[in-house]
Amino acid sequence: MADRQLIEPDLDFVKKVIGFGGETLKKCFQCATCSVVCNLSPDNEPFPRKEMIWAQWGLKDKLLKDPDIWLCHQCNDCSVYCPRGAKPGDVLAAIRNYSFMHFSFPSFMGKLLSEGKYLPLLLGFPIVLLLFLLGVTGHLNIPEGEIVFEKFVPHYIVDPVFILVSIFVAISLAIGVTRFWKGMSEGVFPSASKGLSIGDFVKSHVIPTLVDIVKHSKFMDCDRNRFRYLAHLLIFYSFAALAVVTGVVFFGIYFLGLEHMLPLAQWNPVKLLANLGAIALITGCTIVISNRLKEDEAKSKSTYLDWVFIIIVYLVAISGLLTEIVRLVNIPVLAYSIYFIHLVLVFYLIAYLPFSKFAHMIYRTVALVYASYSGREK
Amino acid sequence: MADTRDSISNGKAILVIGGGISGITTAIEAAETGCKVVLVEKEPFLGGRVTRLNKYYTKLCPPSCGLEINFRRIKKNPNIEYYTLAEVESVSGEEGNYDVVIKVNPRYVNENCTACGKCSEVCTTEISDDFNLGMNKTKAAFIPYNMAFPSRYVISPEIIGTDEAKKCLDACKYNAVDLDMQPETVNVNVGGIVVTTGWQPYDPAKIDNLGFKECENVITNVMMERLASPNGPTEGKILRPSDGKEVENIIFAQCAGSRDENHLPYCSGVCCLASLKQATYVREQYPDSKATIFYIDLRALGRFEEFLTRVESDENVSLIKGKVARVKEDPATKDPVVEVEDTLSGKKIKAQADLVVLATGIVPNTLGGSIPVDITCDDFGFVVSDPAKTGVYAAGCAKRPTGVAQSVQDATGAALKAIQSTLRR
Repeated sequence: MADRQLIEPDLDFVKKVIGFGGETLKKCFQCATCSVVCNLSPDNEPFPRKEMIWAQWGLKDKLLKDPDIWLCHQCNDCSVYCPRGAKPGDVLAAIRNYSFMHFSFPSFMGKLLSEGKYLPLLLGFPIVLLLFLLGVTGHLNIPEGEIVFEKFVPHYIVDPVFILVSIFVAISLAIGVTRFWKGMSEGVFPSASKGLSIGDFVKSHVIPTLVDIVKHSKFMDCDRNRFRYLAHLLIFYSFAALAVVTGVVFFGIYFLGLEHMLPLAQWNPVKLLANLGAIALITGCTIVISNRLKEDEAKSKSTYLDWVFIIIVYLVAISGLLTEIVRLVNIPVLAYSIYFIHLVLVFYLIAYLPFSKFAHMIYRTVALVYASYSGREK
Repeated sequence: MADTRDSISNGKAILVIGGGISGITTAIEAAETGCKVVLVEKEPFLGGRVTRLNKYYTKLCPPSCGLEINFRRIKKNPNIEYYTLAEVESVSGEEGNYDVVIKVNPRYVNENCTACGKCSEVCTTEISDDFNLGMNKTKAAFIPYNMAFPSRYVISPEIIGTDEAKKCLDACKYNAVDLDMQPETVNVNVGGIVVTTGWQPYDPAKIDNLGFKECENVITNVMMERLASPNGPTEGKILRPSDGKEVENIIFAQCAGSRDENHLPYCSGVCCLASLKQATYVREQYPDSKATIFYIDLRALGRFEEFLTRVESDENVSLIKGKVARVKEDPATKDPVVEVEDTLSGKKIKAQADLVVLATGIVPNTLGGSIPVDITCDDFGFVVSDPAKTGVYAAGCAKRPTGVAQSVQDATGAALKAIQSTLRR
């Protein structure tokens, strides 16, 4: 009886997963249709059938250390073919939400992000902070003359805030990801290729994974809903474009001494990239939102975490573009107000990244690298 | 002009709608108490789906002997008046007094027929063979199957008005072919009604991941019964459709549509036993063959468990827990390849076979309100007993997915209820 196993169900975990959108998990009767119809699922110990029973049994430890929950890209082929309406796609999404909140640091932030009642607090914090900083530096007024945002919120106010926030996010994610990697290493799929040098590890596991992500090749494997592929691709590349724009401007201001480089001329390639990014982001979000509204609730239902994330991203894009438009048509009060709103939303997106759905970007990447490293990938 | 006439059984009689095993049982049981019975069947023969079975579970005997006894009981009982090719058109009234209108479609062959087969010999037009579920063709002048009751030919409406029909008329020495036959209307008054309209197999083409449309060698369990029957399209040889090869390696995919909210949310109740039975007769017929049954749960209740244990003990029958969720065809061999996760080992299996049998489920013919009788059905179309609707009863698969033995018991019970509605004082 060497392989006898003591099952320790964690009922609180089951309740939490149900709360995060996995309310159908107990309907599963283990037929394994899901594992077969999923094009991303490996042949050996395929998902999501095993995750469904682990979730039913409250085997939190196994699930938290399971890279497979992140191999799922939620195309919902499984939920469409599920004979019981158990929605494995939604259940895995709920487990992923539980997972990154479990690993994130500090953990109370996860709770704040996952409940709608804390939303005013989370939005209120950057509003109060910015108003306070503007107040003490004497900038709580609408500047005269040509609209230049730097006159309203100077770099020396906004940049330190975002630099500090970025450092906080980086530390938080580093702690979360370290815990996550350690967990996976002790889990059901221990890594097979130990003793690799860092160079070889990067070469054989990190780079191919990043290439896959850049190409969105996993999305292409999903049978259903090719629009999701397009939408995610647009959002992904618009973030990349906007990150490049931010980087270039930051470099210009602090390393080339171009303190007053903003606003950039409309023909400037960096400006063009920024505008292109904003339009791609709005298009991507529009597709995502319209798909979600069209989705049959019997097959998949978006949760608060899903909605709050996509809406914030959407509003960031819209407020960013509006800021520019209103500046160009020269309505100072409106331009500065929208700019303020834009800053608050950007703060939300970046500062709360490790605790919002945005964290999937990091955790999924890490899980995919781990899957490659442990030989788990299909 | 349709002929109209009154039934000989006018007065205190019972109407039985559907002449399958449940209907003929109800009719015989009631008639043998002295009650008059009108039995209406839409096909040109009595016996329904049971006539299309190769063998019953679990005794593995053919249905022919039981049917023959029943047909004999009908033949010698003057209390039973039966109509084939007939449908109930309308029912009005209440318990104890229903006026029923029955429409009888023309068979174009009358009682003089001796089943000599001359009409069929001269006929060259071929039509899809309904009895064999369309797996082959039959002549347009045909007897549904060799043991059909009534033992009388049918001329398909497709050739009426053509030279082919005239050839049949000329070939008949007994004046049995009557090409001028018109639809008839029969009016009867009955006291009680039993709905035994039975079932049909779930349409496998609707299950798009199981390859029924795409793969030649994917068939259903009801087609399997015809393939294995001595009076079936291959005379009992189990040959796969693509190349007529004898089957050596066969896969059964359970719950093809059943227990599935996208198709039939309920368990069809008989498919596990049917597949166990089919695996058994394939193994008996071809001793070197192998059979694999992929299932979610094996449902062999009560004394059927013994049968399951018997099949399990055959080392050439594998029972694997995991539902077939994808079937593709190997283009070179035309072998279907099924994909399953064996849930006990946690490994995905890709299994190739000569033939895949989809264990499709039972859909009641009462689904969609196609029968003009005031009945209450559940969401799936099965008749539920409604205390407010006395006088109309159901039996067999009209009521629930069930096997032959239970249908027969159910039919006997329904006969008593209908007799009470008819003769109650």
